[in-house]
Amino acid sequence: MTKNKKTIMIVDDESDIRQSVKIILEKNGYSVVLAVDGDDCLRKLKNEKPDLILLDIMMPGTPVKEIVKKITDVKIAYLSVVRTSEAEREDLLGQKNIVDFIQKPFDIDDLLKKVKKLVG
Amino acid sequence: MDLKNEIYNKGATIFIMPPEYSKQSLDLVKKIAVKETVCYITINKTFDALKEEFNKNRVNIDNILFIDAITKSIKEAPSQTNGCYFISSPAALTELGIAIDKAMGHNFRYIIFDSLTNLIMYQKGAPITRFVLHLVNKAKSKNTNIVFYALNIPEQTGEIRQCETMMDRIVNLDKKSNK
Repeated sequence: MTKNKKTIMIVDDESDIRQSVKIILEKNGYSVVLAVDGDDCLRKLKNEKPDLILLDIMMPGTPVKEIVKKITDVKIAYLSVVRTSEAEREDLLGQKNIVDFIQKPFDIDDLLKKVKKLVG
Repeated sequence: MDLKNEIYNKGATIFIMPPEYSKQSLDLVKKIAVKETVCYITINKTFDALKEEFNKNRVNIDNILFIDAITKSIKEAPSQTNGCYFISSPAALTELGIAIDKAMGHNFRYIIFDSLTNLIMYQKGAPITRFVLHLVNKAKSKNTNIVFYALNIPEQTGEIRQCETMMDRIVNLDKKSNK
């Protein structure tokens, strides 16, 4: 009976982050798909339709700003170790599909609350 | 501790920082930039974020040239603006090296590299050590004080230790790793 489970895709080049967030989300009833970078994310989106993508903003490979242009119909929350100005953050949040900007290091309970708020 | 006093004159210094070191970094650059010129290389905050923070804290940014290896990865940005060179990615070591070499032509008194830890997230092993060695040698040839920040992260111990061998002074400000 998994048809009501929401699916979250975690895209992060740091395996510790991918694994720890996966464990917490699965414990809380979410289905999780993992991707190691933006290109892997695009490949997996051909077969998966997540409700939310948690997308690290700085990863090796194709820059995330290019990856985001190719994702048309899924909500995206940025995970960012990079510090931006307030104006830059607002600009990023003003882009299509971008629904949140989560600063790293994040508290896992706060992340869970945000995910619940974004997808239920 | 006054970090400015810990910097090795006309040589290379590495500060092993505690996990949250914005204040120490801000205090150092504020003190230096009052009268002396600084080239500030950022791998973890955007130029806009630094400018916002420095202006708020009354740092004299007229004496600072920024090299930003972050902004272009997250948004469209020109190659250079007044006061900043933008590099396409932290992994673009050749491009970063060229920008720093160009900046060194202006004879900055200080170069601050913030940080090796962030750089190592995008490039590992020999290219990093070669890059750091190039910067250290170039800075010394210009009598510039070069300062690197790094964190004490177990996964990066190898690279950081390698880089430490090239430094004239290592200053450990991380209480945890001092124990």
